[in-house]
Amino acid sequence: MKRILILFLLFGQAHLPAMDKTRVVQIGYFNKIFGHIHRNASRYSQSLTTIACNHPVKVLAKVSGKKEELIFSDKWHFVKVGPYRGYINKDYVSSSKVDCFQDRFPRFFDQMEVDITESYYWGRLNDLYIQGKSKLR
Amino acid sequence: MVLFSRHLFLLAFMLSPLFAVESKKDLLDKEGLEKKALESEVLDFKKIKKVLSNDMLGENAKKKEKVIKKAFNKSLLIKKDRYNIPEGDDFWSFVSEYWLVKNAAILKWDFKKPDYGLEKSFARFLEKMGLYEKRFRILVLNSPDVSHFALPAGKNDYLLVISLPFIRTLDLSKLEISIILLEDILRADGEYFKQKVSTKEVVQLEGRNFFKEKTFNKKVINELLKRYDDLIFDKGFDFKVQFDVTKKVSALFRSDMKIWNTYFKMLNKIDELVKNNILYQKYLRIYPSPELQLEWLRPKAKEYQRL
Repeated sequence: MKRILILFLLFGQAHLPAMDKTRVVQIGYFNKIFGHIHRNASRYSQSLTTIACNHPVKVLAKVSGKKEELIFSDKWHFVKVGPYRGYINKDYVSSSKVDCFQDRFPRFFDQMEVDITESYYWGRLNDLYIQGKSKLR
Repeated sequence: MVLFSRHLFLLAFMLSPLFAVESKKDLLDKEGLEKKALESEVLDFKKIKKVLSNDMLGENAKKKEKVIKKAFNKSLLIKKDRYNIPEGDDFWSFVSEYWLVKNAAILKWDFKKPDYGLEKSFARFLEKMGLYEKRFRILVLNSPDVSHFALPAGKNDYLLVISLPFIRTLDLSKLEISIILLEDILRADGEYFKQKVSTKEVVQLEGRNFFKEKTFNKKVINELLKRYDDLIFDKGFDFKVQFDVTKKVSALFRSDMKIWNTYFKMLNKIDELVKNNILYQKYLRIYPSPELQLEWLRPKAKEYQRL
């Protein structure tokens, strides 16, 4: 029994994910109608969960010693949403609550009866858009 | 001892009425006092009305009533606002995205696509054309059914779709893709799409409040989505729209002959494609017609003579 316990403890420690050494550095809010938390930092990566506008997301940073480092900070945030830890497009996270379509027109939105499949695809839309803006020179 | 107790009993019996008379008097006195106390407690408002008015209590009560009424009206307004239907940019942007979601299986846009770097190149192209502060979202489709379109969104906000099979078949360059998308942007600016799909019912629905009814007529939205289908998959634009757009694009490109020539050559490519490829024969119905567009663009004999 002791052997099993020791083996279990050793095995458990050896397989602790590296991401566990993280700290919440910011609470952000998702700012599109629907979106996804991805397994990897890619728009094509598998979706862990679908979230709706104004859903709070905990932005995590990797902690090594005294240093804190944002993970994939150029385009993606490493975040914790509910039980899931995954990646989200940085542009889709606001530092404060946003004026969501669902909140401005709640009864209209309810009556549109957007189902789970549709909310999934809506999130995919936001993943797959090629977005840009022409600037004033 | 027995004798003494008998005497005591007799004495008590004889004196008892005296005590009884006294207790009745006490009771009457007490009742009188209580009545007076009650009278002093119950206020006659008529008597103290002047005092109250001088104390401003009435005004305070009115003020409180006003505050309560205001708060009630505010909460009612918030409750009512929850039943608003979006209008303008909010409405059209929502319906267009909803249409894309509903048609995900047909349009096949959920796929891994090559990175053409369009976000930067198209933004630069717009800037070159003097079209500043234009926000765009491009969705690449994996279907030849819809070659390219601009769906109604907002002012200076464009929702564009373009087909990857169409790009590949024509072997379009970044510049050519940008030209096609710009043509679509001009169509969106002209609100030709909105004019074609909008109905009287849609206009009535936009921005309405359905607090009283609690439900709105969803059929109007479903009908609108159907009209989107008809326009995008079947009917397309008419010759007049095409003529207007072609002339606008030509005027925009005239300052840069390299781009103008690319546009002309690209229309030639499309013309050949729709004449030879069965998959794209529907294109003629949607955008009539590349051949005519070329004709409209060709300098007239008079212009030659002038040159």
